[in-house]
Amino acid sequence: MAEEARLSAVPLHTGCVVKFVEGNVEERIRFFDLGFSPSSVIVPLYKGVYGGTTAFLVKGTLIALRKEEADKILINQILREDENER
Amino acid sequence: MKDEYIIALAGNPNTGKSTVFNAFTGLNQHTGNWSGKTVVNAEGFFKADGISFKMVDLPGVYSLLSDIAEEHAAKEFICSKQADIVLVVADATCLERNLNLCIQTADLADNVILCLNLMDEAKKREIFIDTNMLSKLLGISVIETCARSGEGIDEIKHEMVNIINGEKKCVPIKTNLIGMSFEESCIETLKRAKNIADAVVSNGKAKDFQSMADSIVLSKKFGIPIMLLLLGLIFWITIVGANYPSSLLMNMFAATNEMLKELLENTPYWVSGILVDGMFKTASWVVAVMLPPMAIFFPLFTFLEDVGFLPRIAFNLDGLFKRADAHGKQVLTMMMGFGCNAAGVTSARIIETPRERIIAILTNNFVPCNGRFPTIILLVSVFIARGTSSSVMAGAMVLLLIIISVGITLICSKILSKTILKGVPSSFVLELPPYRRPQILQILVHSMLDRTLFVLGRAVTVAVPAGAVIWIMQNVVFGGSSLLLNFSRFLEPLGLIMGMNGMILAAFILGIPANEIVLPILLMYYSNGTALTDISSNAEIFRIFTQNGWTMVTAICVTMFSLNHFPCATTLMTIKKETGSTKWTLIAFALPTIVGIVICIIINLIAHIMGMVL
Repeated sequence: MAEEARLSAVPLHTGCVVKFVEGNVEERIRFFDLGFSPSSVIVPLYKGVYGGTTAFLVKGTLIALRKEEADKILINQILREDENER
Repeated sequence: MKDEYIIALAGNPNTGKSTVFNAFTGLNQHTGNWSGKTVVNAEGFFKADGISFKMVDLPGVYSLLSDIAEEHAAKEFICSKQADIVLVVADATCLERNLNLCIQTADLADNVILCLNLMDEAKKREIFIDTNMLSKLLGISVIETCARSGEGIDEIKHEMVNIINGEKKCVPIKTNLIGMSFEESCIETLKRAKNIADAVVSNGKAKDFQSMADSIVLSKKFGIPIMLLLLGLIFWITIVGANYPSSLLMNMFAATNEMLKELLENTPYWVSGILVDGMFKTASWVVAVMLPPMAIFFPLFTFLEDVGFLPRIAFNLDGLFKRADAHGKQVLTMMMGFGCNAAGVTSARIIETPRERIIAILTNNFVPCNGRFPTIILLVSVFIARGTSSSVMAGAMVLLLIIISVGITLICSKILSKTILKGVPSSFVLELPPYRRPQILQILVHSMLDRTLFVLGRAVTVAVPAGAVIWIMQNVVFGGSSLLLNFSRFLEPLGLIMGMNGMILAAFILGIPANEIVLPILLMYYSNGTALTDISSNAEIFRIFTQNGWTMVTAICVTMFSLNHFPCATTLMTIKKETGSTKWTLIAFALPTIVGIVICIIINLIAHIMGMVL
C-alpha cells in the first residue's frame, strides 16, 4: 500500500483507519469533531452521481465530504471485509 | 430560591433536540430533519414542582472547541454560568459521537444531565446501552427518553428539581487534560468518548432499513430518478388534490358575490365597485385558486423534510453545485426556497462564508416559492393539460419547469462566482441524518392549518387592499383614460417584446407584496362584468385568457417570467436584513428580473420566427 494513502482513494465499502489529518489546527479539530480523528474507523459507502462527493460511515453516522476534504485525511490501514462492521 | 432557573439545552445536530425543547416548553418550533436547521436560539418556559424554568435552546454543535460561530456561541453560554443546569441531548443510536460534546460540557459545567434521546430508534436497531455504567463513568445523571412520545421528560424534570433543591449533587468526572496542548486535549476527549462508548454500548443490527433505503436513494443509478419521481409525485398530488376544493370554493364565492351585489344595490356604484368588484373578487380568486395548492404542497414538502430526504437530495446534486462553484449547502437553502423565498434567504445563514452565502441569497429567487406554484400549476393545467387524464402531464411539466429553475440557479451561481463574487469554494461537510419516521398526522394537519391561516391572512392584508387599489386605478380617469390603462400602456412596449403585454406586467408589479395575487389581479380585471358563477373550471379560465388576447406563447412567457422575476416585498426586506446592504438587495431585485426579461424575449423571438416559417 502506498505510504500516503488518502481517504479519497479508498474504494467503497472498504473500511480504513485514520492516521493523520492535514490542515491547520482549526481545520483538524473540525475534522476530529466530526469523527475523522486518528484511529477512527471510516467506511466510504456512497459516491455522488455527479462525482466528487462521497458519503462516509463514521462513528455510526453518514457524513458526506467533497474530494478536496477527503484528500486531507491520510489513512494507514485498509480493513478486511469482516472488520468493517461497527 | 430564585424566581426562575435557566436550563441550557445542548446537543449535536439531529439528536431530536428541538423535539426535546418542544416537549418541555410546548412551543411549536418547526423541526426539520437536516443538520444546521436551528440557527437562531429559541427560549421557552416550563414549570416543575412549583419551580419556574427557562429553557434556552443552544445551536446544535459537534463540539465546543472549534472556531465556528455556533460552537463559539454555545461554549460562551455554557461558560458564562448563566445556566443553572445544562441538559445535553444525545442520539442513543450513535453514542460515541455524541459523547464528545457531553464530555466537553461536563468538563466546563457542573450541573449536567445527559438526555439519551431516540431510544425508540435504538431499540429498533437492537442497540443497548448500560445507562448505569454510563452514569458512573461520566459522573452525571443519564436519563433515557423518546421525546417524540414524551417518555422520560417528566423524569428529567424531577431530576432538575432535585438538583435545584440540593437533594441531588452533581459531580461530573472531569477529563484529565493537564499538560496537554489544545489539539492533544481534543484527541484525549475523543479517546475518552470512545472508551466509554465501547464499555456501555452493545451494537445492533448492521443491515437495517436505513442502509437499505440509502442504498437506493444514494445510488448512482436510482438516486436522481427517485428524487425526480418523488418531486413529480408531490406536484401531481398538489394538482389533483387542489381541483375539488378550488371549484367548491369558487362556487361558494360566486354565490356570495351575487348576494353582496344585491345587498349593495342601493349604494353608489363605487361602493359596490370597490368592495365587491375590487376587494371581494380579488380575495375570492386568491382563496379559491391559490390557497388549495399552497395548503397541499407545503405539508407535502414538510413531510419530505421531516423524513430526512433533503440532505440526500443535497448529496446527489452536490457534484453539480460544485461545478457551479457553489457551496454544497446551497442545495438546502434552495430547497427552503420552495416553501418560501424569504425563508430560503434566512436559511442561508448555514453557509459560513459571506461570498457563498450571498450567492445563495441572490439565486434563491429562481426557485418558485409556495406563492408562485399555483400560478405555474394553473397556467400549465389550463393551457397545456386541459383534459381530465392530463394531470400527470401537468405534473410532469411542472417538474420540467423546476428542473429548468435549478439549472438557471446553477448557471447564475457559476456566473456570479466568476464575476462579481469571485473566490474559492470553501470546505463542505454534510451530515446525512438517519431517516426518521415522520409523525404524519401531526405534520399534515399542523402544516395545512398553518398554511391556510397564513394565506388567508395574506389574502386579507394584501389581496383585499390590492383589489381596492386596482378597482380605483381602473375607474379613476386621468388624461382621457383610467390610471390602470395609463400604467399598462407605459409598460406595453416592454410587455410586447417579452411576449406578454403591459397589463400582465402591471399585474406582476402590483404583485410585489405577494406573488399569489398576480393571476387573481388579472383574472379580476378580465372577468369584470362577468358573473363569477361561470368561472369555475379550467376550460372557463382558458376562455377568459384567450378572450383577452392570450396565446400559448403568452402563457409560456408568463410562466417563465413568474419563475424569473424580482423577489416579493417580504423577500426583499429579508435580503436587506440578512445582507445589511442596499447594494446586494438591488442586485437581488435586478438579477432574476433581467434573466426573466431576456428569457421571455428569446422565447417570443423563437415563437415569431417559427410562426413566420410555419
